[in-house]
Amino acid sequence: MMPSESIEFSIIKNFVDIGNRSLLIMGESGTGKKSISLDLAKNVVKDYNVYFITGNKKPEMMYTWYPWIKPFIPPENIIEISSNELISSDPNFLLAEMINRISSTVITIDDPFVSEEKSKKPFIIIDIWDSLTGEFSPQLKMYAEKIVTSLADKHNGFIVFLSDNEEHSSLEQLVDGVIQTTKLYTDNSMMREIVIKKLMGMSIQTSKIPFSFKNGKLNIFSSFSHFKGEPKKFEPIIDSKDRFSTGNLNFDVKSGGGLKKGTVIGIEIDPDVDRYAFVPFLLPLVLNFISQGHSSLISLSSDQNAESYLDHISPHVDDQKLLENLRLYCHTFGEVKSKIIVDRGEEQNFESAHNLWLESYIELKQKQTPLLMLVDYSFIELGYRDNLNSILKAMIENTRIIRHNKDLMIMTSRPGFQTLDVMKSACDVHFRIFDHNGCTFISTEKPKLFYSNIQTDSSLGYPRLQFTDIF
Amino acid sequence: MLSPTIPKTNDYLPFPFDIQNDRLRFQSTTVQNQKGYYDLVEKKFISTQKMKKLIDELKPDNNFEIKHDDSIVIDKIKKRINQNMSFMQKNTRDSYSIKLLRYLSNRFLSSQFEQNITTAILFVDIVKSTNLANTLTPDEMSSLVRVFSQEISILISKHSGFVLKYAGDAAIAFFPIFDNPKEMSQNVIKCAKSMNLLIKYALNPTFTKFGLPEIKIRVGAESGNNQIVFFGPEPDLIGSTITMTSKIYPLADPCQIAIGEEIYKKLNDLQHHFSQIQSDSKKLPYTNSSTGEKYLVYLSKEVFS
Repeated sequence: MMPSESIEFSIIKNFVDIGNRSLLIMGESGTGKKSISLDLAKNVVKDYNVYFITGNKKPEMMYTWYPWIKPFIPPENIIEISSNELISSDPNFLLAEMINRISSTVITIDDPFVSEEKSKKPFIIIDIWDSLTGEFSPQLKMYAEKIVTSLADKHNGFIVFLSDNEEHSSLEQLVDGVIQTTKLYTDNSMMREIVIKKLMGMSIQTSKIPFSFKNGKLNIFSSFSHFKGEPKKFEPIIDSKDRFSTGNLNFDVKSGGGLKKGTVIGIEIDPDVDRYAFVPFLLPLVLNFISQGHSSLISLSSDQNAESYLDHISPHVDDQKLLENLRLYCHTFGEVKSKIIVDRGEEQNFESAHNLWLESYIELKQKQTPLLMLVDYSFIELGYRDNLNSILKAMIENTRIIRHNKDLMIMTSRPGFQTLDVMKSACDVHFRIFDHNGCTFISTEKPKLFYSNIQTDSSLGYPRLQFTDIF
Repeated sequence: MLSPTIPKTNDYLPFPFDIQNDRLRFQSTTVQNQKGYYDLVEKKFISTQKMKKLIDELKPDNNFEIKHDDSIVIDKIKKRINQNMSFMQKNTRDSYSIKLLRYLSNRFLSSQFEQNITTAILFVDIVKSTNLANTLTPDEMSSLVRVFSQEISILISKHSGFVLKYAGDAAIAFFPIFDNPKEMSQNVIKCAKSMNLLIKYALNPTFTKFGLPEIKIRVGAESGNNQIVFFGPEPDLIGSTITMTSKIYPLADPCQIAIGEEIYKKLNDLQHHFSQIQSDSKKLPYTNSSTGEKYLVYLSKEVFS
């Protein structure tokens, strides 16, 4: 699914499909109004001929900025009413001119005896509404609004008004839909949002849709999806001399060529985030370790079933490699079926559990190959509340071992847990995964590297993270 | 009752073929420097020039009749069918001419709402269409029926009639009295004959060219009184004439015309083309309500295969 074909954005497309006639997109300059209108047009071209009425953009300029509109908006459909005309001409004349232009988009009958093709209706984006009506009296403005919206109905078409002005009391009432584009600033990044104010005939589940741009195209963020498709074997990405590959080339590029050997990575995950987000994040890393003959030692939370955890990994790598290179450290409730699964027992205190953990580490390290250690400390904190000091000490001890042996450690924790503070100070790279308006994002808090929307990419036959940067 | 007069020249008709004053449907406007009409229902523009040409093609013409040796008329029809058959594969909508004819028919009936009018009724359908539907793809079948419906609709209009409704591969038409009852009846017979010749000389050769099977039709006609009623938004006709015609037309063989006794009486010069049904198996089990006698049905002597 293309980002702009997301379920969230489809509500706006469906709003056009069900026979509505007009939409007002308002928002400050640079918030993406044009891109949204063009993206919406791209989604409905099967039924509509798209026209763009603009103030000062010749077709060539539009194609330079939005090259993807070329297949569905021919040059003659980009109608320019120049800035000079807007300044020097009588606005009444320009309004009449624009109405004529819209009227001339009407479908004409060529041969009345020939079976009619399914004719396309006009989809008209008006980018000059502010400059055209700026000097109109309120009465004339309302008259102009009524005339232009009625044209959409008369011609069976759809009209989109783009406006920088955020106060359109009369137009807001006349049109069938109103959406607003906004920018939100977080640290040094900017998040864009579509705020749905009114869409007639639609049941609105989410009133805010986050989005960004990629190569001039709209990127609508959708809620986090799970892996879909046929599982395939994982092809390892060979580590460089100094860095472990994340098993995901996109992630390697974003992290400057992979994760440095001897690094401690901290992942802070907000409580409302789907825990599945860990799977496309960490599975390629684990698979890359195992399939290269490296080791992976993973501590599962007390509510995680080792067998089902293994089900995520086993379809993508040979059984023998799993047996040699993977250890899952967990509660088995007395049913240990595989050498891969290490039972930490139910009644043990943290220290004895930790000793068992270290024994597994030593066992795996006897192969003298690099090792990936994965621990969710918020669950350990939850499981051994009375041993908090020992847990914190063990965290530090683990980081020291990892750094010394040039291995890789991924530790996770959550807000509200004391292990989070230690993790933040002990780790070399701090990732934060969080939700915003139903979409999932990742940012690097230490050092500041990137801020992206994340999604599951299933195209390679295993789940891996797909990043869409927020600018 | 409004009884329009059909001029025998090629001038514009005042009614029902004028559209200039119908502001509920047509709005005079100019698009791309061309004067014309904006059809408010179809939401399409047609230039005055094209509308005039269209109406010229559709309006009744007392001299119009398809004859086997009339190559000008047949070639013109074949060209139109060819064009439509080529487009039909991708287009699935009626031509504008059909939409206009439907509108004119509805407008005519609506103008005489709830009145009893004397009309001739004509039923036409494709023989063994179920077999056709079983052998053709849905696209082929719909192309065939659409082209057939368009061409017979134009013929009906040329003979001063209107299509009342389509029912799959069948159509029901009515022919009001414009000048005199005899002319109405003769128009129906001429139209039925033209339909058969249209199939033989224009439709079937083109269908063959496009790999479709040849078709045959069966036509029935009768005249009498019918009541204009509204069932839903569109006007309709009910009455004994329309019912009787529906019983008469299955009695015709393929490529033959069956007519009732009322229309037969008004045929004068054309009566000798028909003979009364003699076979018991084809007798109608109805009686004429005014005479109490058995209802008589006549079949065309000529079979247009």
